[in-house]
Formats: sequence, C-alpha cells, structure tokens
Amino acid sequence: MEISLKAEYETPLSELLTVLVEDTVCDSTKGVTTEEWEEEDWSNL
Amino acid sequence: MKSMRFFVYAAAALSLAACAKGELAGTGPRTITFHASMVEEELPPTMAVMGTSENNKPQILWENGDEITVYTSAEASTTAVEGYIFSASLTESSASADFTYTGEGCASGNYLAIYPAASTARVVNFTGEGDIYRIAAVDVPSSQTLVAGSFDRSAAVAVAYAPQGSTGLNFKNAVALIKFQVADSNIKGGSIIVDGSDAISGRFRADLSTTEPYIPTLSTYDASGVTRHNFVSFTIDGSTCLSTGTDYYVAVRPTSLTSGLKVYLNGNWVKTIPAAEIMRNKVYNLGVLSVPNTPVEKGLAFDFTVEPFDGWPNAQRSPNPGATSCVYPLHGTDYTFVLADCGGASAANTFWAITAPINRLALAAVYRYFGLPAIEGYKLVKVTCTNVLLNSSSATTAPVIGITKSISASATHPAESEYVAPVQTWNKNGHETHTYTPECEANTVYYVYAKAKGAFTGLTLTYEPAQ
Repeated sequence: MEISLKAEYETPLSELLTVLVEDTVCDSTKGVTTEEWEEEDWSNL
Repeated sequence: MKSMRFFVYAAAALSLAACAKGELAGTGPRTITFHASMVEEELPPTMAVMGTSENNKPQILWENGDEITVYTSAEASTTAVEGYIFSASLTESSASADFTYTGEGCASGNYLAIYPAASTARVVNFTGEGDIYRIAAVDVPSSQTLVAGSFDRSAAVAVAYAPQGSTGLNFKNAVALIKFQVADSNIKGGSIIVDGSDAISGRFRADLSTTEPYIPTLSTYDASGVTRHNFVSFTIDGSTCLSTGTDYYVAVRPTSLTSGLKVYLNGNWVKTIPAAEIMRNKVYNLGVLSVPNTPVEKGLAFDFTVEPFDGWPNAQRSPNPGATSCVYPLHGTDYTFVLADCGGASAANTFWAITAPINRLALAAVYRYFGLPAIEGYKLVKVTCTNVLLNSSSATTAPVIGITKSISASATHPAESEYVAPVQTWNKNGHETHTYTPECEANTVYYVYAKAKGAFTGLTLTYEPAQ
C-alpha cells in the first residue's frame, strides 16, 4: 500500500484510518496462537 | 470493546503508513495496542494467573494491570534500551487481552516482547545472528513468593516475537514450573537446590529462534552484575504458612541438571529428583511433600541479592575487630551469621553491599570473615558461593576464599591447619559458583575467609545430622 507523505497530511486522520483499516484487516491474518503447559508427573521419583 | 478495536486498527494503520514512507515515527504521542494471548478459552474470574485449558492443561490468564515490555527493531542497537511498557486493561482475568501503550516512540518495526515488564534497560538484538533474536537481562528470581494455586508473577517469564505489521504477540513460556502441595500445616517456605555448576535462577539472556513459533531459550552470558544461582528460595507472603491441599508453583530456568534436584521445606530435605533435563513450558508435579519425622539433611539457600534484613551493615562499617552477629530469617528460623575481621581494620569490612550493579555479601578486603550458622545437632558438610564482582568496576585480582575454624588474632592468614577445606581461587570477573565440602564438627561456627577480597550473591549450606 502506498501513501504519500503529502497525502497523509492533507487527508483527515479519520478518513486515513478508515482506508487503512480495510487494508489492515486483510493484512493482519497472522492471528494469535496459544501455548499450553505440559505437565509431567515427578511424584513417584 | 469497540474502542479497543479502533486502537488496534489505528495502530496497525500507523504501522503500515510508517512502513510505507518511514515518516510517521516520532511525530508525537500516539496509542499502540497489541492483542496478546496466553490462553485460548474464557475462564472463570479468578485472581490466579494459572488456569486450565480446554485440553485440561495448565495455562496462564492475563490480569488487569499486567504489563509487558515491547522492543522495536527500529530502535534496537548494541547499547541497552528501555523499551516500551504496554499494560492490560481488564475487568476480569481473561484468556486474552489487549495491551496498550500511549506515548511517543515505539517506531514501527519488528517487535520483541517480554513478560513481566521491567524498566531495566536491556540489549536487544534483532539481527538474527546465529539464527536467534536476543533479549538480555532476563531474570528468573532466586527468591520467589508463593501464590496459592499459582506462582510468583515476577517469575512467569514469557517472551514473544512479532514481525512488522503484526497485531498479535504470541507469548511462549521461557521457564519451567515445579509444582507441589504440602502435607504439613507448619511450612513457612523452602528451597530448591541443585548442583553448584547448574544455574536455575538469576539473570539470563532470552534467545528466540528466528522462525516460527519463535521458541525461547534462557542462555547464560556474562556482564557486569550478572549472577546465576543454583537455587530458588520460596516463601509465602506474611507470617502465614502454606495451605495443605493447595497447588504451589516455583519457576526455574530450564537446564540439563548434572546431578539431583533437592527440595527442602522449612530447611529440611523432603525429596530428591535424579539428574534430569528441565524443559521450558513444562510443569513438573512433585505431588504432596511431607517433612520426615526423623532428622534429615538441611539445605539452606541464602539470597544476598534481596534487600538486607534489619541489623545488617550495608556499607563499609566502622572498625570492629572481632565479631558482629546478624540474623537472616529463613522459613521460620533465624540463622545467625558472624561478620568479622582481624587486625583492627578501619574500613572495607564484611557487609551486605547494596550498591550497583547488584546486592551482594562483600568481603571487602583481605582478613575478612563471614561466620556461618551453627545448628544444634547438625554439622556443616557443603558450602556453595556464587561469585560476583566486589565492585562495579572490573576486578584486578581474583578472590581467594577458604573455610576456616577460627578468626586469626591479628592481621595474618590463618595457619594451614585452620582450613577445613582447600582454599579456592575464584574467577576475578565473577559469574561462577564455587563449592566446598568441609570437614566440620557439629554445633560449630565456621567461617568463609577472604585470603584475597571478594563477594558473592548466593550462598547454599548443607548440614547433616550429627551422629
């Protein structure tokens, strides 16, 4: 996505964000993964 | 929630704009939000940070006010950086959370993050040298405060890496957890002690693989004030005892143990785990621990990186040839140490130093002594000291430390016959542990003696019942 510096300053922030949000939604698909702890029994050692 | 989404999008938008033109960074205060998660399902509200996943496995909950430190590749360098503190705003503990930072800086780039947050400046390396990203000065506390059903939050070290443009941070646990319950109702605390050559707490460097899922390793490294210990001492808040039937967790650094891991409660041996590989993201369940009714080995871990207790001199004290007794309370018992010198010293005595870079027990000159507790019915059999620089500046001479039976009457070294274990020369730069196996009588004070000055941050003592 290309945005010129001039365009950023001349475009109201709300409009800029609106445009960018759409682009971001498409670009931020990496998601958030989780990690579980693995439990090991040492009670009988 | 709507406003939260706005922040996420706005942050991402600004990141993209900065990426495209490199112009927006540093143009003024702004809000950046990361969505961070440690768990995958909604759990009941609780003050505990340990929850259970849908797979019935332990997982962590974020809590309101939790903070992480975020570093950006746009600002990383070979000098230490403070990073940016992002905080979670939650009405209840949650499976996932949004962390927000408002302010200047935090320019767009790749991100490294660590929990818990710390204001300590760190060297952070994004170059992937050796196929690792690095965060230095990562602490696994040597002294931890137990939490019923959970663990010391300062010890729950987790790290994350996010490439530029990400809105998520996938934290990976960097430590292992030792889980246990107690059968006795009078337990004030205890220790986990391993061989002196193994480091399970202290300061490390988090090395992350440069490919997903960015798995962390806590590596050793040497720098001023960096110290590593062969123990974790744990206690409960206040003067109460641990509750029976309750899970407790102690965090340790993953490592391959060269010998057994010993667990002590109220200073008394309760369990030994044979030499094992301690792995990150593992919870090792010791079961229900009980102190034997007969006299057993005592294992005591004294941590001098904490704040000095009342009565301890924390600076070079006034001349005091002879001895001053100081009490270190540990797990319900007061242990008396003797700070001593000989020859009418006028300065540089034995004291609990609190100057940078780290608190330590200082034997600040030759002829200084540190008397170890005598325990009725027990004899001292092992002494392990964690060496650290006496002063913040580089040492020019190596400490030479022995264990003696007595204090010399004048400024001379003890006779050879006074030593109960071979004298050892320590690394002049610190970072090592040194173990002595003295031949001692029961009920008797023995002294750590500075044949050449030095300092240590940790001290583990092992006593056996006298025959």
